[in-house]
Amino acid sequence: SSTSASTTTAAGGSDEKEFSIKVGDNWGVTHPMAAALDNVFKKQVEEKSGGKIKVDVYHDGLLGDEAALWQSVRDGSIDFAIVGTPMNQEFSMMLISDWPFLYRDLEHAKNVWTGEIADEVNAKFHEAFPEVELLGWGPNSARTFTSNKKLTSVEDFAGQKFRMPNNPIHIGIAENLGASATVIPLGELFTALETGTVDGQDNGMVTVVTQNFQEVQKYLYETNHIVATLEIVANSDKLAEMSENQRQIITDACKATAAQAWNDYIASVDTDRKTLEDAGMIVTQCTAEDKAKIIEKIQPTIDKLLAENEWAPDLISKIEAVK
Amino acid sequence: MIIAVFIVTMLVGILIGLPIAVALLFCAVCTAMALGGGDANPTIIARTLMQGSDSVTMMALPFFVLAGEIMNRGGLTKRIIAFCNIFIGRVRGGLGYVTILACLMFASLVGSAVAACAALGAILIPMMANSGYNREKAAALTASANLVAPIMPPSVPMIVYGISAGVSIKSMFMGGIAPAVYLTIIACAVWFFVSRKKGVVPDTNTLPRPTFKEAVKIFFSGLWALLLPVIILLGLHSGYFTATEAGVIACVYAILIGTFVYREMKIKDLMKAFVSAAKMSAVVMFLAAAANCAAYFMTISRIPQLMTESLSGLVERPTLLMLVLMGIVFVVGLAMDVTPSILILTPIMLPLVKAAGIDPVYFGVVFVLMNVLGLTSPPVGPVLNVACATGKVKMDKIIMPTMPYFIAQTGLCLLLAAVPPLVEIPLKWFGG
Amino acid sequence: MPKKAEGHGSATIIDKLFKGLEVVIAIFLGVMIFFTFLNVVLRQFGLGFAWSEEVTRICFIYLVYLGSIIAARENRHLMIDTLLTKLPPLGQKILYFILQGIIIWMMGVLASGAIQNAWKNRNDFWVATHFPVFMVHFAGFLLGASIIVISLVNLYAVFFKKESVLERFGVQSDDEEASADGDLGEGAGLQ
Ligand code: NA
Ligand code: NA
Repeated sequence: SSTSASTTTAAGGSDEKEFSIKVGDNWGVTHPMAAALDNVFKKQVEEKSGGKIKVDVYHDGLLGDEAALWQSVRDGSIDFAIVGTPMNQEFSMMLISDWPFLYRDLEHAKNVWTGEIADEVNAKFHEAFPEVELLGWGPNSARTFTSNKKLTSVEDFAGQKFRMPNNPIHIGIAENLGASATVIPLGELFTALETGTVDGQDNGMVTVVTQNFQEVQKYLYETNHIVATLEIVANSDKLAEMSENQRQIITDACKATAAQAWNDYIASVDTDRKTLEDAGMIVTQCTAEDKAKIIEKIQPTIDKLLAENEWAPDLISKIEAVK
Repeated sequence: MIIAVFIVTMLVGILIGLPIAVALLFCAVCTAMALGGGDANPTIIARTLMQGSDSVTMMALPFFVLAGEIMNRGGLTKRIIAFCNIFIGRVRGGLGYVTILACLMFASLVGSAVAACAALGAILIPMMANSGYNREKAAALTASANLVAPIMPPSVPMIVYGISAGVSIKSMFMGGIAPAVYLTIIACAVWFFVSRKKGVVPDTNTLPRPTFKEAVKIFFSGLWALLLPVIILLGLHSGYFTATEAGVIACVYAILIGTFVYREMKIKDLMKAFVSAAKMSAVVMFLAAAANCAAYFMTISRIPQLMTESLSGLVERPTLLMLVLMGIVFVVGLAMDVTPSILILTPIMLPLVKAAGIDPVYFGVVFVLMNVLGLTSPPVGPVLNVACATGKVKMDKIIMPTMPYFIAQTGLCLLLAAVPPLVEIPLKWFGG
Repeated sequence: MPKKAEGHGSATIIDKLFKGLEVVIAIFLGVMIFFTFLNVVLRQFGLGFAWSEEVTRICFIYLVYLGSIIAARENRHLMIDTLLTKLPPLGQKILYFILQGIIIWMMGVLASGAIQNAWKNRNDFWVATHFPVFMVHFAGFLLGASIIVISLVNLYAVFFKKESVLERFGVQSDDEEASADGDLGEGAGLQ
């Protein structure tokens, strides 16, 4: 029972209610964000609340896929959800999460989303969706391209078939690079890669490892074209039921969870790369010239994004200013 | 307490005769009320139901159902029977072997035993009866031999399992090929002994032997229909299309053959096939969606964990675990149809299977087979019903003649549960 | 459904409406096949378009929800009816009342949840086709509301027009399509 609330007064004189909260994500425990939920969020909240708040984490989309998790946290049927950007049609500023070539490196991305800019976007987010609050920005992953055909330079994209997520930014990038984009659900992707229905796909190395794509893919091109984030969102009503102190515990825990996930993620990149190389994949780093070439090619997609989102230039320059 | 509410409401709902989909919703709503608070929000019911039906992978289902419909109406079915007859129609009880072979070939075209039995039974049972075969024995053979339809790819239950379990449908399909062959061998062996007995089959063959010229014509005509499974398997294997897309290829090919080669497909038939397939798909998808809804409440009331904990002693002994799980499926299969049974049992059993280190594809193949056997087990045996209806046999007269097949098939299933290589080695050959 | 038509002037119009609904879901199935096939063909030439997936998903959702309404009217949803057929006529009536009552209750929950979801998502649109998410959730409301009406009609027929429960229950058996051409009837193709 998620909302079993009792007003019994504890011996210590605290009159805080007891809560049992449900947290849902769409990731396996091998993902740094999911791991941080178990190791940081759950632990910290249960300890610091003196056991008054009990945390149940459901991984692997057990409570629904991303869109469903987002809906659930909005109507309060679950209390916390870790989602990407299922709300980008209603609140376009969330597209910043999928903005191509936004950061200098992963440290930069971490500093942006554990700093003041995050608070600024969080406030706007709460204005758009009063029923939820955005409490933390963790890493999804830096997306890379993998393929069965030779993929070691920008020129190799031409003529290859890639599975891309059904999102205009991702599809635009693939097409600008000279590849064709096909939409195949993630669940069918392994088989599609194995049988050659598509030549390749784009995902972070952490996802490549989790989904065992190294078994059916030969090349990995570390473009890091999008460093996507995962957000911790919480139901506002549930937070309002809590005491000031309990809310503070929750907000602190969210920040700590995000920070831990960024650190773990950044550390995992080298491990994941090694895993993939050991499995026989040919991993090519993206040089500065490569990156410049890609940015030049995908300029039409970037221009389109800039034209459609008037908030973008301002926010991007702020992000670029972050050390 | 919550768990008791979940289990009792589901069983009561199903047994008093609610549509199973509604019984699953009933169990979800009652569990939600018992949980209270945010869990009792009706938006969860609506959302999980929507999520269960919004699945690109599940589209394979209407596609393969439609392909089966088109094959019946486009004349592919009867050509396959004629094709088999030119090879083994002449031995003692020859039409019985024709039935078994036709079922296997038809199985590589359709994904459902009821559909296959309705299509083949309507032709084969009267044909055998008119040739002097014992009608009940012929109907029992046809019912039992058609169980191969959902085991040989394509297969509706394999699709349903693959999606519930998050397992590659292609792997499930490839895993079914060997068990389909085993089932065929078993059916032949049982028929061999049954047809030895006096009065089961006529002592002399009454069917006219086709001339060489006729045989050649029947052979090539049937070959067109049999090209389809080849196209599907090669296409899946070489990556021209996904499992979902294979269903569409099957539809398009069946329409083309039925219309242009056999010239039996009329626009009106096609329309009927579409309507019928759309209605059937809606029924099974509504059920799948309701199962998704119940599964949500099963998850948050921690039923899979409970099952895992109570059988955790068996995790160290995978063979025993397999046999226990198959025993549960056997009991459920006595009374329940294949699709709901798979949808309800998969999320409960899978965590245990994974914990025991059993390959979910291998488990799925044996699990689906055991579920499918329920189609010919009394009291509720949908394939028996169809065989009776198409063969004009009374329900109580078909049960005993079916038993030898049912016992042998159950034995096979337990054997596969105890000896994984029987499934896993051929699965590797087929690239699953 | 000739039996139902007796005595109702409006029944034929309702029958036509449902025949029309059948054609609509058949067309949805056709569209799904068309776009999926086109996707396979175009991929061989390195072409493809993202919105085709959304179109097939929309068609599929409506096929399921509208088709479920038809199936409810024709009593095609899978069930175990052993208990009902074994009871004496009075017992049948009582059980039938309970069954239809639970169905109405469940569909009420569904309809109210679905309309809330629809309203909450009124500003949301699918990415590629810009199809309103409101319309997707609205299908749930439509399904719930329609089946409530069907159940009320069933109850009216049994309790006021004195139709027997079994007659009401076995509607699918007089489907005129279940003829000699090997039509499979209820639930075929599923097992
Ligand atoms: Na089959
Ligand atoms: Na049975």
